[in-house]
Amino acid sequence: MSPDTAPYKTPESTPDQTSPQKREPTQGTNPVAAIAIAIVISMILAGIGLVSFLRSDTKKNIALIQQSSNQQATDGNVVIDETSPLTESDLSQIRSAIEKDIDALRNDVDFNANELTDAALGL
Amino acid sequence: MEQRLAEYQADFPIKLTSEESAALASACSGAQTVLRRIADRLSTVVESRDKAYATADARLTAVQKRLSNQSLDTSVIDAALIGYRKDVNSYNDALGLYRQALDDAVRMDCGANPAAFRSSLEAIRSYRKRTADAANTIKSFVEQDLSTAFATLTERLKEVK
Repeated sequence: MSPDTAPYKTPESTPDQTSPQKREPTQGTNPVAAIAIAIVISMILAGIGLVSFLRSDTKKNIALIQQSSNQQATDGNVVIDETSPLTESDLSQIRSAIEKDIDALRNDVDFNANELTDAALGL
Repeated sequence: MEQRLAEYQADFPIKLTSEESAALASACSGAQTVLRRIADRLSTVVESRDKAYATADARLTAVQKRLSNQSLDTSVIDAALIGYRKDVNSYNDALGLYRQALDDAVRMDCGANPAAFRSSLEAIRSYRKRTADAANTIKSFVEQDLSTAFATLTERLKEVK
């Protein structure tokens, strides 16, 4: 067997892998106390976050977004509620609004027969 | 356009004497100016009407959604919406014919074919009436059928309470 193909030999100085290592316990650390401290710190941070949220405009903005999501704008002018529970009062208002819109259309003026007579056309 | 002019002449046949034909040929360009003005004004009218009809449709659709969200029967508003949309579609169909006939009468060479111009005028008058009738039908639907539908819905809401 040539030296190039000889199996790798572990150096004499390498420690025995099979022998158990002894770890010195860290002095002065109690795992239960560390966990308790972490919990307390996270609760304090959560509390600070909650107070900041309640004092900021974010809460108001969310309320506005929720309110506007209940409504639909058909043409930028008319806002129509699509989600809140329907009441008798709502029905009355919706009926009046539809009648008002349609009544405002002047069929006799918009489609006036008199403007199409021979005389009106100069014939 | 030539095909439509032929259709106007088939649907509204006009016999002109040579004197009538000559008189119409000389005066028709003035009539076209008036018709163009009517067509332009109609565009504004249509815009406001489209908005009004669409808003009414959106209001009815919202009622339908809100009832559905409350797990209430929507059959009354469903039927009202179907009836309303049918009437609006009829109006739009008539309006399309009216505007097309106006456009054809304005653009055609009326001096060269006065009989076709006269037929197109009759088509305009006929389609105007159809459009006005359809608009009146929508109005009647809102005043009567829709009013009845809303009264029924109100009663049902009272029963649910």
